Amino acid sequence: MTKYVLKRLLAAAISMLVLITATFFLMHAVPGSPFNPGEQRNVPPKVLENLRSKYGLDLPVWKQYLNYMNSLSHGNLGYSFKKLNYTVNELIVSGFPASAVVGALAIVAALAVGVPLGITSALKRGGWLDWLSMILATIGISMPIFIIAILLMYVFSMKLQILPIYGYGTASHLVIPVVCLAFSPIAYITRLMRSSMLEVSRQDYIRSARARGVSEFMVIAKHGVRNSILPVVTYIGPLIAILLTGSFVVERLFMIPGLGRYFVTAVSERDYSVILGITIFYGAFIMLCTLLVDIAYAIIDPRVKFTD
Amino acid sequence: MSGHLLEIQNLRTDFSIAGGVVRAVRGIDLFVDKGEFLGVVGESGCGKSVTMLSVMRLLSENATVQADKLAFDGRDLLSQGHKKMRRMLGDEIGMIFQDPMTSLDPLYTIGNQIMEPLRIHRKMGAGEARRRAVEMLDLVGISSPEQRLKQYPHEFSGGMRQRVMIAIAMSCNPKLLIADEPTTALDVTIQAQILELMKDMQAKFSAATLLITHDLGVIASTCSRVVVMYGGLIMESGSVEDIFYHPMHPYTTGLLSSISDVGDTGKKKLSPIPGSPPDLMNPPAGCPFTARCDSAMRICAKARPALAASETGVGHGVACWLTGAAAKGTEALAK
Repeated sequence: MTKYVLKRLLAAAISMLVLITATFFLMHAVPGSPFNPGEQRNVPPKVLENLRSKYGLDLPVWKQYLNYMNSLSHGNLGYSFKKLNYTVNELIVSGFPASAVVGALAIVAALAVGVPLGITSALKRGGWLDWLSMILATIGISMPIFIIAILLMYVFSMKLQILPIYGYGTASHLVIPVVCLAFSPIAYITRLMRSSMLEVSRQDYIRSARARGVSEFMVIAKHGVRNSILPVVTYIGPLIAILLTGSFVVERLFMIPGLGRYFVTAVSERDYSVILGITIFYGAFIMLCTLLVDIAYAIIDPRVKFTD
Repeated sequence: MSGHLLEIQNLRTDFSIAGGVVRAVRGIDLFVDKGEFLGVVGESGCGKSVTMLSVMRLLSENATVQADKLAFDGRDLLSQGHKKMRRMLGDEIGMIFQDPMTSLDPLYTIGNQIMEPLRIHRKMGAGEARRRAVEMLDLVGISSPEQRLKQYPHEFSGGMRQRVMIAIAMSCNPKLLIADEPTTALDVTIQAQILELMKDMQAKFSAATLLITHDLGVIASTCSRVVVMYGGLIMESGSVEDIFYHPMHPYTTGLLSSISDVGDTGKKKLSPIPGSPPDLMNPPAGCPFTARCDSAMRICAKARPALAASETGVGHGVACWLTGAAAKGTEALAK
């Protein structure tokens, strides 16, 4: 087990190196740069030149890469090119908590609604709840998040005036963003759980559990759920990474001071160090989550063995 | 009549499916006495498993079960609620299923699953249930039961898993053990061991056993009484001697001539029954075997013969227009 985890971490480190290198060179290959004379017309050329040399942009790209990797090895993601006197580390530390709060709540909501809804629609197949969940799922999968956001804003903030339209700080500020973020995961989890539970409920071991006198509730809760939860676990691994590190659209729409917002602005402003820093953070998070999912597999299913 | 452990009268089970209604069981009378070993034999789809699952209420929701009488140990099963029925399963009635590879939950240890009925029905604590589980595993011939208890189903072979299933079924000392094709999925040597074990367990626990199978060899080596089913109906029933040495129904005769004996030198030709079983979505009005029967008469297709006592033995019943009381009826009709 320890050996397996170490091996996976080593593999993750190699993937990270590839990710960083690819992002670095792609970023530089894209036309435009942070201090481009064409884009900054009121700044004297001399000043731009000074700025470029301050951030090391006048060096050849491979040298910039080596410099970056060197400071990265010390855990230093460098200064933001556009936010004066902010390091990328500081930006991540300031942005991540808000993203994480909204994301974590969305995951909890998605699981708390999706799993039970999936189970009940599988058990009461063809019932009204099954139809409702089917409709909900179709909407959740096909409707873009910003449309759901605007609808919710219109109904709850403008018409009913019970929830703030944007901002961050109080619990009521969180409701609409969390619902928006959780909507499509709820739809996916419901469908995954439903089909998986349907499959499991037809298995012989479910019938033999009943024949042992296990109550219907326990048949589902003990034997049914554990056997049918794996597809959901697979799905929520990357989902956790995506939601915790911030949804660009939702953070932008609701002015949530999270990571996603920084990332979007960084890309349009060619803020190289911020783009790279957030990509690295995001990549590491996804790799960690997939590792956790694989470990969770082995905990849920004893047949899964780690091959060292 | 009231002495029977399990009594079924006129059981009918239908399944509603997309294309219509499948009449899987079409009126069956059956009883199991205390401590006896009854075999139910028939080919796939004849309704033998469905009969038992109907009684235990383990069928899917699209099934409707009707009966004039369903009684177990003096209690009317028809009036029992779902929960009460469930409380009897695993406690007074144990069940073993066909495929031991899929009948155990792969995610829980063997121990957990053996202890389940003990904790539910006997309200045992963890320690007591574990002791009993070890005892049961030992009894069904699994070595080093303490270690095996902590293992998962995938660490057991098919035969071993069926032993575990037997241990689970017998753990609460049931009055009736229902075994649905318990040896079908196993290879021949293991089959013999499992049958031996079942006989052994029956002797130890003095539980009645109802063995469902399509294998006449299995019946011959274990049962005292046999019921032959076809097309959702009982064709013939009687003692093992009656069925094997004095078969009256053409279907039973057909079944017997389609299997080989150990002593055969290869000279005897096996004769399969031509044709295939009737479509139970549109069951024939008369005897379901008519279409495949060599001695079929006109009446066979029109009216269903009742299961009537035959002259050959006590408790030997045949549902055929050629024999027994039904034959007298045909004679009368002919006149």
